[in-house]
Amino acid sequence: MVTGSDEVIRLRDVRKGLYDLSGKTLNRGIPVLSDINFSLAKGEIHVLLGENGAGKSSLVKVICGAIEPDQGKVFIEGEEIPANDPGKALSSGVAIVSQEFSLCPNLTVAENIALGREQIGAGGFLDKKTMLAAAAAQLARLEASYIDPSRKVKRLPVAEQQLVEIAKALAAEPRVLILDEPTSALTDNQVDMLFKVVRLLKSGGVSMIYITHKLKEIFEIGDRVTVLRDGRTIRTIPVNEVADVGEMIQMMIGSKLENLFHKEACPVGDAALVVENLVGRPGDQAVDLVVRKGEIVGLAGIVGAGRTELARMIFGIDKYASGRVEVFGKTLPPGNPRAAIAAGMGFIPEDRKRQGIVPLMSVAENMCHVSARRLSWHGFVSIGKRRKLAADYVSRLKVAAASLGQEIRYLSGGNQQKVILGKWLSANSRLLIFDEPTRGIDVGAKSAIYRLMVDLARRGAAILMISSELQEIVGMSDRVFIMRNRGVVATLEGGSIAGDAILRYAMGGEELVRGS
Amino acid sequence: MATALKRILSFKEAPIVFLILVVALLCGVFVPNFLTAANLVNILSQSATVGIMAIGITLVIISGSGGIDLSAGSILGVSSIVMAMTIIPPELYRDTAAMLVLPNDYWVIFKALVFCMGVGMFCGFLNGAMVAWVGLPPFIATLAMMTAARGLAAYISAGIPTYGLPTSLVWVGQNSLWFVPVPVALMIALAVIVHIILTRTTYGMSLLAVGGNRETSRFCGMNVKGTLISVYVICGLFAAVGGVILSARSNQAHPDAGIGYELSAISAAVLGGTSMMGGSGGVLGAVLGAVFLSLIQNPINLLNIPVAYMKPIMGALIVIAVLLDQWRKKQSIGD
Amino acid sequence: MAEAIEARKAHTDGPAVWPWKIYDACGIWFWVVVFALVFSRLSPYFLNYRNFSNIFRQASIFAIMATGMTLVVISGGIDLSVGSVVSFTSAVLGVVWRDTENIYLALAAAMAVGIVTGIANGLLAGYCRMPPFIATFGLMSAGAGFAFALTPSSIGDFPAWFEKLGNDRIRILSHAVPVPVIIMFAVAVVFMLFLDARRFGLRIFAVGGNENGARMAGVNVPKLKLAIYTINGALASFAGIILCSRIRSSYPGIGLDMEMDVIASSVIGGASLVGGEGRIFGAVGGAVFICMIQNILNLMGVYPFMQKIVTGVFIVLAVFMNEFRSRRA
Repeated sequence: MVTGSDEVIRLRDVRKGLYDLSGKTLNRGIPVLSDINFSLAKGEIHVLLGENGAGKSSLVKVICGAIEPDQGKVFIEGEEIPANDPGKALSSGVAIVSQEFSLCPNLTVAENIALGREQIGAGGFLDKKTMLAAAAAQLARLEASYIDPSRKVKRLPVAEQQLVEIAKALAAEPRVLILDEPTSALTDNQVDMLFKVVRLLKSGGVSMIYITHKLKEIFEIGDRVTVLRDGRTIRTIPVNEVADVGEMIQMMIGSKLENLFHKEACPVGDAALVVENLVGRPGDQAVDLVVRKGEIVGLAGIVGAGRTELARMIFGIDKYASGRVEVFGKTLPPGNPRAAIAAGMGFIPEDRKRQGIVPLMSVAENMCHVSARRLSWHGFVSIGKRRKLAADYVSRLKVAAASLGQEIRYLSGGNQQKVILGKWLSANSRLLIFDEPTRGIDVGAKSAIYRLMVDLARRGAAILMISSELQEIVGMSDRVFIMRNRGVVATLEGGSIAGDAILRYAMGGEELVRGS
Repeated sequence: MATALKRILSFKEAPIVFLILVVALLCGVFVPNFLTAANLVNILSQSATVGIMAIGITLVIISGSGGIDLSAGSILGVSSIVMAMTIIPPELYRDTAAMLVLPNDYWVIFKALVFCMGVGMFCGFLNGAMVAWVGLPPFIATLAMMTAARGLAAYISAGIPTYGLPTSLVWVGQNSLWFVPVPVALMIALAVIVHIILTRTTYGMSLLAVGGNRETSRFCGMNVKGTLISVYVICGLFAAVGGVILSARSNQAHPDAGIGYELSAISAAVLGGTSMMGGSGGVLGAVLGAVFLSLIQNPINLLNIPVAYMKPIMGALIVIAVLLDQWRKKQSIGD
Repeated sequence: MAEAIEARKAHTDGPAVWPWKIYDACGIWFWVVVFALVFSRLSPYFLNYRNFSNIFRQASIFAIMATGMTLVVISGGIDLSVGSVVSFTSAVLGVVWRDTENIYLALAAAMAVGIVTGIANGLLAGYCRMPPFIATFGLMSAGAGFAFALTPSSIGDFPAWFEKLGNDRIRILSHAVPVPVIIMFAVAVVFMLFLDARRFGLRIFAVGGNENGARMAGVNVPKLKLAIYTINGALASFAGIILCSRIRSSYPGIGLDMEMDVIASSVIGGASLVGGEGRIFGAVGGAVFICMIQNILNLMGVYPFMQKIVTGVFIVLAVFMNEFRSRRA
């Protein structure tokens, strides 16, 4: 069904280096995309597959003009489009449902859907009635009529915001629709609805690029699949030629699963972290949790289950309503990260750019943010000691940086993560909370992080790991706590830790029957 | 060559040094009497007040999230009035006809300096409290302080300037140590001290971290609010020191002293390579920026060009300096 | 990311019960009324038509400027150059009038000042991506200097019809309403329509709310910013012209520090310096609020110096009340 003649999009030799939020290339030496050749045929659903950080989102951003490639060209229906001009891509019929939040929270649903092609009525004034009606019509297509188009987006829950994003893309009547993980925040019913719409669009001749982490979705709607790894296209094949899920994972990861984790059993000691009856907001379930020395404890659950919130309360970033947190025998005062750090706790946050690093500061400085006091003499930083300590951890963690003085924002995600880890290790943290430790990190660095975690556990550190990647939870954890609706619903241990069981508890009720 | 250029461009002070050299060179060639020791020293001493204020303002800008202090000029005004009123007995204060010659009572002068700096720091503390604890945007908080402190200065002095300070205080403004004017020596000393604090102490590190990424700083257990308040206090203190220098130089305290100085000081900071986004910047650059502002004023004085042309030139140069800085950053990105 | 949004939602979603809704709708006008009632107890000369028409006339200049500033602030920017634009406008108006005796030419030249400054601001902030604080700050210094360079002195003797613009009153419903107030309301209504009922306004809110999102939706952000800053400059010039008419002369120092009161009016009126929020009639209310406080302090015979302190305190209070409102809402 796929021939070269009716291709709508063609990418030729596209390269892009590490870039910042505005799309400006920071470092050409760290490629996010290299030598990408990609084509999208008319009326096909082309699935992009790859691990976090493989370059899927960057690739579609190039197509829709959000970022400018350092090299290479983008053609839409044979016509080269200027880089970095989202307006041009839009008017050529490319619409995207972005993974990043692209709605304006201060505007209403209808205004967001209309933005960029607003309905103009008499006298050049906005035709608000038509806008509302058009928005309602798009939402109805997704059977989401319960969303009030006149509500402000910031007042909607995440799943509804996601549906608005989709409705906004549909409203553009695109010829090419890019869906970047559209289902991650949706319930199963909403996903079914989305797929119905997707099939309808396809029969109408719309081509789609579909990015997902849910492998079964590929077989459900995909025509062709392109696998990306480390910014390169590994292979493009029709979906019906793919043998099974295992083959795809194999292509994505590039190595056998077992080799990735290096998990070994470590001697377990006393309790490092004890959480008793912790209630975040009145009405939440009380959470009890124990992490012992030498253990890696997984914290699983779907997005929004309250895992990060729990970790933030334990660490003292946020306050809690009631309960007790005890670290190495000491009860921590609520809402005080300094006390947590003093007690030996460390936190590797989920959002590296916003919570983990200070982008403008050097590798050495970032490495010593926590241990600064120890390295100082009456408030003066010993530059020599700092360099020595940073150099020590850079070599121990194998951080690839041009120099200790290099600003950390020029490093790749994996190396930034290693520096953050080094920051806590150098401060003698013996209880570490990892929140999505390998998000957006390439396979090599991933494996290195896992090796470091196991090594830490062997030396008696206690680790609490939040992860949305099932393989990671299954591969790394000695015990797993599963959260749902801001409470712990189950604890699995040893041999009972399995992907399907975790999913069942994490999703709850109806999914249990469906037996995913 | 290319790597040498890149190395030079990696310093945030590069554009301002370049601008100073260009302007000095042009003036040296075209302006008579420019390149004399006396004139150059004069340029430096004229920059001292703004330079010292710019040091404090640089720290505030580094603290990030729109950090700015519009009240520095007003704090200068109120603190110098407080100083003069502590020294000058009330019955003599209103006596504007005669230049007073007051005895050098060192205890009184000490008390006056303490009050002066105390008022500066207190105003700064209020700024910091409004920003860190109440959560007001720094622009608004310090704008209100700018109005209020100026009003206070006029209120306590009844709007009347006072002349005649003790000779030992005037010495601070008008004399030289060896051949360096005292204000310049003070500016350089303060710049070096704050530079060391900023680059070599844990406090400086946490300030840069708080300005560069407030969330990360919280996760690292830093005292974010305390750091924020401290920079506004320091800025108030330096505005008060600027007030001492200005009063000593002119041998008077004027309730309108320092109007518009905060904007010159902000320009100096930005000219010196401090980013309005926060998290990066340096006080040495800020002082160079202040020197530059006084440098471009100098030929205007020497050539008898109307003072009014000074501001457009200043404005244009600020824009050029920022464009240069954007270009510099682009060039120094490693590939 | 999704969890971050969830967390944000948690403390932005509150019950919208009716007293709060009315309070939200009134914004600063609620406090204008409250304080007007309080002030009426402080001075017998405060609460009457004549005094209020003076307050509004005084506020009209700031309000016209705050209208433009509100557009800028909603888009996430700031414009420090408006005070200088008023000064420069005034100087140009006076000089061209003195030298050519042609008032129309003078008015055109005066308007051109704001438009050109606005274009320069817009180019720097929009196309060069310079932080607006710096870009407009540079032009602020330039404008103030040029004004004095052009003429250091005051120029008067404008044609009678021009002076009427700022000083006449028109009878509406048996009340004599000052012309500048009518102009203020006209400008406010026009721009409120632009902001709330036209594509242009929607896109300004969009850029302020999520600049990248707006860009992805096909909004030409640099062009939009150019338009916003140009309008703001033009309105500042317009206000400057009316001010010259009212005081029957031009003076190059006339706009000194005006930008601060104008920004304060916008913010008091509900504009958020982070962008994405603001109201035109709020900004008008902000200007009235500031002028009203100055008026009562005058009536009470408070020292001018003390007035500054009190005004500063009220600005902080008003902004704090807004913050409180948006935190709760």
